[in-house]
Amino acid sequence: MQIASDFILRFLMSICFIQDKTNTTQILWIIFMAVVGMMAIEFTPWLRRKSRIFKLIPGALLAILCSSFIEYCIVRPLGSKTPLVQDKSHLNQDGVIPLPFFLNKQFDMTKLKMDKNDWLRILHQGYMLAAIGTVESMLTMKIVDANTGTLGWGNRQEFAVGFANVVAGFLGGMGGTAMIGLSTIVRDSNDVFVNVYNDV
Amino acid sequence: MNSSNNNESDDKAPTAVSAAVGDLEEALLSQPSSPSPTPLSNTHTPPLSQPLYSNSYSHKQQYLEEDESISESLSTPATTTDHSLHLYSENVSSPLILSSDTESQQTIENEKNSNSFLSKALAAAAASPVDEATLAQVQDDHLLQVPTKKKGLHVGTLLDGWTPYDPKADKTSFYVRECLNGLAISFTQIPESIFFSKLAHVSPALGLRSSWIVGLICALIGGRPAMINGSSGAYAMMISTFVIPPLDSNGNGQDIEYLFPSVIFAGILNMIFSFLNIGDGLLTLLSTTIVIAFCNCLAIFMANPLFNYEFPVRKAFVIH
Repeated sequence: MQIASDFILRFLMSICFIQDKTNTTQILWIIFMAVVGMMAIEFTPWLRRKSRIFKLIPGALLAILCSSFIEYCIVRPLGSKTPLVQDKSHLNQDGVIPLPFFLNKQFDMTKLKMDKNDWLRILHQGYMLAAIGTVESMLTMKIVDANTGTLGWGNRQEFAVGFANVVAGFLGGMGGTAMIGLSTIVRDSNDVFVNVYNDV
Repeated sequence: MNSSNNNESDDKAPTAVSAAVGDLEEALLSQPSSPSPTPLSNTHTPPLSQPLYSNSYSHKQQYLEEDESISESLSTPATTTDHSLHLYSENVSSPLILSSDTESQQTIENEKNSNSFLSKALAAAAASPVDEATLAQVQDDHLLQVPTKKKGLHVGTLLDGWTPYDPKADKTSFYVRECLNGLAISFTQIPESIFFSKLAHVSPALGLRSSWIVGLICALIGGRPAMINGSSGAYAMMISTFVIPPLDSNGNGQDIEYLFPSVIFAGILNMIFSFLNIGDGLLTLLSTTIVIAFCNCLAIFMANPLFNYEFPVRKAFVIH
């Protein structure tokens, strides 16, 4: 019986991409918090019909509040603790203030000799990044258009992404474009969808 | 909306697929109970003189009504034989009809008139609801449709995303809801950015920094409200091919110095693309199948390093 339960727990742990530093109780708490978060997102339309306060609160924020309430009011007093982001990757205050990348002392800028090979490599990488950034931002824009039923301006978004990448590369970031997952989370915020929820 | 505009655009639709589907939809939507019997059209062009958001809002409402009418027609039982249904579905999915020339359309119409069996089957299928598979396909395509308004370089004004879609909506509740959404997004963006920076073999500070810079600038001057920008998965996947993975798990990889000039060059290329009308051109070219394929491939490529490094599949099958 113990072997079977241990096997099931290990299997659930491998599904949830949890590393094996965690205990059995931690895994159970994590699964419980995930289930509570999913239920909170699932039942927000029902809650919106019941009271007016929940029309303001998005479902994702409700899930985060529920899981952090469980963490700090139930799990911590009972003596256990679920892993945080801090345990996975340690952040210090060195990189808080953004500096231009050639003034930052983390990077060894003497590697860049600006030969023909270096220029070719930079142009090659930049061309590939620009192509994939364009495609991803336009695809995400199409998904958001289909979700909200409204229109966006592709060229303006393209210009904004380019300007943001220039600034981010100058200040020592890795650049970026639109994020598909978070864009589908935030579709709650539109009036169109809130009206749909109220009608249903 | 004005139904005359819709009818004109539907008449101009060149493909015979839209014509065949249009017959079906007209037959479906011409019920006496349905409030707006306008046909569904791919090419919807709202007039540019009116404000865009009010237009699109009413358009969305019209879409919802049409959906309800379609679902009502779905619930009614089918009365035709299976033979004609099979013929109809073959006719919809045949690759011949995808040609966009007017001559081929005319030939297909002639074939329709000459071939009495096919025309009978089409009429029978149009008179009564067809099987659920084709109707569900039609409904899915219709749900994923987006109204297209692309005439030149229309950019809009700066304050487009800062007001609610519905002009009658309460503004205080709108702003409170937007702020709470921003809070939720900021909570979820931190672990995602750290994961993407680990995927790209750079330190987490770079991912967080680029996430706030890109998000802030795209929220201020971007062209799509309700879209989140930040350090994204496709960029991380592409950067992971440039940068050699580090020995320290929180450090930067080798050859990271080549990354920043290339990101600046990518931004300059993106700004050039925007003036060459490539953004809107890609929006009209990309189909929904490409969207689905891109999302699935991105998910597989993002799950791959997890399977290699952190996925404890062996530990799951070894019991102490």
